[in-house]
Amino acid sequence: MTCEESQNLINAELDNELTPEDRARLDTHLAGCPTCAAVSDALAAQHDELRLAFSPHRRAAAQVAQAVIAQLPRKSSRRIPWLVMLTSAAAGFALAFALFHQTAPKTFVIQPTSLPATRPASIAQLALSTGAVQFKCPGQTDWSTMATGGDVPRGTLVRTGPNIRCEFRTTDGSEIRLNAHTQVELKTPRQFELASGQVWSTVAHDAEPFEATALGTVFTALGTQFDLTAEPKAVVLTVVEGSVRIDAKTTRQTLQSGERLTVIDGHLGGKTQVHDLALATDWVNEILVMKGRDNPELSKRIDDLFAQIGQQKMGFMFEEEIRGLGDHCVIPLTKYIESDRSKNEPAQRATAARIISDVAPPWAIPHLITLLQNTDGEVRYYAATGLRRLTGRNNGRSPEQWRTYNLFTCQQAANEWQTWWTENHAHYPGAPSLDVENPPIARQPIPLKKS
Amino acid sequence: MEGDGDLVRQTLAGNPTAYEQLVRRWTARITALCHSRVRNASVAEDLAQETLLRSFRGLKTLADPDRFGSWLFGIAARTCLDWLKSAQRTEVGYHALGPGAEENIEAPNDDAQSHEESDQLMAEVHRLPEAYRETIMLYYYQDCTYQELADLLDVSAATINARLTKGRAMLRERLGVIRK
Repeated sequence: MTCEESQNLINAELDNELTPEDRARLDTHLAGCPTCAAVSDALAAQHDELRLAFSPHRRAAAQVAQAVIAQLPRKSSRRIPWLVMLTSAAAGFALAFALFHQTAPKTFVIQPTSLPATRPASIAQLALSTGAVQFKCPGQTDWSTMATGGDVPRGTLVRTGPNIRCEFRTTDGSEIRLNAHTQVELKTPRQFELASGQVWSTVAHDAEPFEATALGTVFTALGTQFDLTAEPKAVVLTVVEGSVRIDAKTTRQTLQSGERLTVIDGHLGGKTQVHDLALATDWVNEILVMKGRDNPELSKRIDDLFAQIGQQKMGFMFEEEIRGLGDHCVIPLTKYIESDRSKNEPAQRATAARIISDVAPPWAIPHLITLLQNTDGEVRYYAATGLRRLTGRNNGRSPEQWRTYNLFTCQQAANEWQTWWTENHAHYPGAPSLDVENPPIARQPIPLKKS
Repeated sequence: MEGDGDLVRQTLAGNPTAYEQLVRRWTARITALCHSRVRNASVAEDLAQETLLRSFRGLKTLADPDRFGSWLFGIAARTCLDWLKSAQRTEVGYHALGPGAEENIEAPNDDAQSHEESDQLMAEVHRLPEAYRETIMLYYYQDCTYQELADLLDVSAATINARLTKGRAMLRERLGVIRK
């Protein structure tokens, strides 16, 4: 390779346009040509300087767009996106509020009444409930109240009243959650019949199929999580993870994760896509919160809600407006970058990373260290830039180098940052706590970085 | 993401939010083009605004909605040309089109002391030959891939790479002399 050719490749590398083959050729050339290596470093520095110099112009362009939009004739513009965003945000914050304000798992222990003298072997236990759960064992005529931890014999009917939700854990490790106004017959550890209401099932892996029946239709779990609602004449299935096979009167169909289907009078309707599974099944949040902060299912839901808020912000707000949120935008944007939601949105992902790099406060250092291991070189570059801004150090690697590292090197180098953080975090302020009784004084948005 | 053509058709069908999306998508690139042509950021912002409003009013005349970007670039180029001609005719005189124009183009002066280096850099970008200036401005105003820029300017991706390479080399050389 000639030095002249290497100039084009150095620039292509700066612009993230270099193919792996060309990168290898360029690396070989740079290793043996100190002149080109020096040019490469100088161009990288100039590239950063150009980005900085254009930063106010990019912001000005966003303001131009706002000015144009303000002059357009409007009917009902922008309302729906904002409503969507606020709804999502409200759901997220409601969950976050509930999470941060529960101190210990809350369970209502209710003394059992009129238990049968002899009962067959238990197939499940009542693990959690937000209030009184009633049950009727085979052969019983009256409903009784079940205590938390109470055993459930085969063929037991269980029901919940208004505002009562609960979770049963079957002997094979599956979980069956009942929403309010729900009645279910628990036939075996892997078989139940939904008479009315709404049920969530997290199915443990087993050779025996896990079957739910409702209004004559059989739903066989081939994966792990699904939500089933029985209405007077219809059953609605939402698959959250894995897949579920539906055996209706005349047909059979399999639904995948993120799909929903309604069965009316034994006939299958069309499949629809559920874009927000966490919101579609948000009734289980109350149960998850009772399980405590360390519950991975709850953490996953919170991360996804934050990612959704971040995605809405990136989709419907200008960069300027998002920056105006200051450090409040850091968590949602971080979760957005880390989630599948940003998988097909490289430009928005890079913009989100750039905003984080500019506005992240010191408590976000661990989040930036996590982003150093992102598969996107742009994200790693901005994470490294943010860390340099916050700590005044780069641990021996420039942001530009983070752009081109392979993932193995990133992991090793990120571990070095992690070690440094473990040793030094005491020197940096922690995250502000959420205190509703004594809310913090509203923080001013972090001013935009001017070039 | 919906294509430009779909959004144009929705706008013409009376959906007011569709054109907003086009505005968000294209404003940075149109401002960059205007900035490159008139070499004055604040004038470019005004011209970009005018371009986007003109195009909204004239959207019905767009023959191929899928070619919205090229059509918009044409409107921006004509808007800039009108402004340059009119500026040339004013008493004060705008000499950016003539020889020695480098001395008269915008010298960024806000926060001059604290941002001296960025100002020098931007002044040198203004002084680049048009093809390099245009490509560099389009590139740094908005994160675009080579192919996106190539489609916009009707050249190959290799040409975009060559222009960025040459433009940056010229900047490095000129700034090296200034900063020594």
